[in-house]
Amino acid sequence: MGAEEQFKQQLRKLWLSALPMHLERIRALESALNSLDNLSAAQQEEARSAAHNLAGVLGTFGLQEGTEIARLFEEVFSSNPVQAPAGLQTQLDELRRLIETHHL
Amino acid sequence: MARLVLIIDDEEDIRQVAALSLETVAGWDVAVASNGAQGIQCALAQRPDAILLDVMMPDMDGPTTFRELQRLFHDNPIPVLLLTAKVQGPDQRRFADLGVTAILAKPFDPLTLADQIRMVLGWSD
Repeated sequence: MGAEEQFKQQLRKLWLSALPMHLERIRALESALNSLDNLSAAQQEEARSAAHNLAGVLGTFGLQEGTEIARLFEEVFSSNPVQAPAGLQTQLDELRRLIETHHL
Repeated sequence: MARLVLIIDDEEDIRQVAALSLETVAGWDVAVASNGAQGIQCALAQRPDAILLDVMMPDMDGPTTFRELQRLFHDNPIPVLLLTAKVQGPDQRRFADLGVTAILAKPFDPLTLADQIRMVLGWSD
């Protein structure tokens, strides 16, 4: 096995070990999205932080499209009061799908 | 002796990928810290050849950590490369004005991260 393939194999292991954490972040976004009318400051910060983490890491694992969607959520949950454009649930579903089906 | 790069980032998965990248692709030694205060202690103890520093961290953020590193290593500065998603416009100017060696985009490509660092630091190994 070449050095690059070995590296990719290790990267795959990291991706799989981090997957539950990514899905936990998705759940934080979903929870905040479902509570937009009554969002607490703590919940908003948790969602912003989850989106920020996803934006920073997904592209590193080759999911640039995931980074772009996560940035949108980071922007939404950084606004105060929260400015939520239409279609966020669709974007979130797409983000979850990208993460769940990603293979390195 | 292999170069030593210190990674300061509050996100565990970013630390892991960056460390894997620098150790495996470049063959460098890597130290990691999960916050600014821990990073400063690590820098004092190990005197790394370069520091990869995340911008957005709770408590002590990247710019604050950088200013403290500047103060502590005033006579013999360690190159600091800021790692941030905000690489355009006013944010980039603000970070550049801090006096960091370089600003690297986040997310990064783990296969080329070491090359980026080599290029900005002029390292040939």
